[in-house]
Amino acid sequence: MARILTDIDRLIRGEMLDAPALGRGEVKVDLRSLLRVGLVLGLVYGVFMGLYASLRPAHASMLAMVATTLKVPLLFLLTFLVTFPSLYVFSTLMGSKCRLHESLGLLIASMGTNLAVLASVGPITAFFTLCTDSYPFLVLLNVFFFALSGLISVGILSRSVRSLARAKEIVATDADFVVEEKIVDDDETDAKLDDEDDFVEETASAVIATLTPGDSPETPTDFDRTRSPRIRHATASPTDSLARVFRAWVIIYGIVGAQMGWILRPLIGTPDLPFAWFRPREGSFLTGLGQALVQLFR
Amino acid sequence: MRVLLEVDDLLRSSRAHAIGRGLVPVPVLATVLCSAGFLYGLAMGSFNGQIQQMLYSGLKVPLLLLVATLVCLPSFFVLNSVLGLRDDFSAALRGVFAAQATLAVVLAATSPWPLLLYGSTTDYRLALNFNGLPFLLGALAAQIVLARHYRPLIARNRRQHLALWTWIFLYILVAMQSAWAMRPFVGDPSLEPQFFRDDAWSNGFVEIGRDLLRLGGLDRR
Repeated sequence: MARILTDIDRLIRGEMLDAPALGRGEVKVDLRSLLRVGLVLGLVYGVFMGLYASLRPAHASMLAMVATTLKVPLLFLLTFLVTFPSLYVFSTLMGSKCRLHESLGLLIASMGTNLAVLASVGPITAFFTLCTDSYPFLVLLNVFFFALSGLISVGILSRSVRSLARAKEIVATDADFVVEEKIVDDDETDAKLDDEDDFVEETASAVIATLTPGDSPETPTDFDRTRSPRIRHATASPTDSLARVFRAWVIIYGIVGAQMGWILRPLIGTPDLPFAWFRPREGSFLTGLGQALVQLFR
Repeated sequence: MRVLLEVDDLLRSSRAHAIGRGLVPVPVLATVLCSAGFLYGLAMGSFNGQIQQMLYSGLKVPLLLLVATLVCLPSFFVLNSVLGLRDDFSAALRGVFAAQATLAVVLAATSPWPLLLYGSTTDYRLALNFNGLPFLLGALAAQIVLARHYRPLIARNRRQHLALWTWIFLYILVAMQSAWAMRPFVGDPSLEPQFFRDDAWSNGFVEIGRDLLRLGGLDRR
């Protein structure tokens, strides 16, 4: 228990993603701890979300609560499985230098943050569940909390991706530059070349550290201004492309997540329907959202 | 006397209640909040002159402020951590708690106002609506104190803006529903004094929305 709490603390402090390594263009993530903590946080929010199903006047069911508790982590896992392959393939096509395990680590870290924020609003969900009888309101409240936690985690992921992409570009571009010089100067030894590569990496980290006092680069222009025209020309395009892919992925992730939530329903538990593990295949997330909005003031 | 000195420091943000990091003076602030809230609750519940309703309201006003704060606190903590603001969390918490205590102090300071009104009218709706004014003023005063505590934090890190506004949003969301669930505070003269209404578990936002739709002529039921 103490270990889980320590891991949760590390997660929300951002310590599961090694920041200095990110500055060097590497992703070091404590994947096992992240998955364990993510599962626990998902289960925690599931309990809060499923509280309504266990308390509703008709068809109250503890089994419904258990089902929701299990479905929340499942929702995140399935959304991840659906969206991750396309993100990786398209970002690689657009020039991303992130390796498979690096993309995986970044996204799982982001999902962990998402689940942490979601679990933290659990008491508010429980509060409204206990003192309101409006099912549409609870639906909308949950949609809002999922969106809010998603946006916060995406914001953090976005900064990490930017930081990583730039660090990799600096390292790669400067390393090429060093190699070109070495081809001209044949007398230099391979050992010295390695030393200089190390120096370039250290310099890149130092530049990033200077530009980002306790943070990743906020604006590309500030960052680019400090770099030589040669490097600026060489690196502008892939980062922009990657940013576009990332933005597109965020939208796809949101849509898939929302629809996955619809497929996995009931999550809250419609008051006049008995418990079922899954509802029949019909409609979409937007249908449900529209219905909740229409019924809210009826 | 000691409480009054603490209130003075609280309003000036000085000594134990100074802006910045450090221990949050929770016992002092809780005492101020409970006693000041109780005082206003007594006055608010005196519309019918029934001791029972006065005591109920006296208990419920501090309870309302405490519940709204405590329910939102876990998400506030996690949000601060996730945004990388954990080092300044104690300073933010001092601001949040000081703001709550200030709200209660303003309510206590304005507690003679409803008494004056109750002495002048028997109109329940007017009494009900009038009590919104001290709460509004209290909320504004709380905002001033919160902004005072947050100013140096925001100067250090712009992300404090997001944490602050998220707190304000979540707090309003929970406080409004708490106030709805905990009613009656004034006490309808046609009903017996109650701690909670029979329909306490309806949704305040939905009820207000329906009222607004009715007022706008969009709902004719």
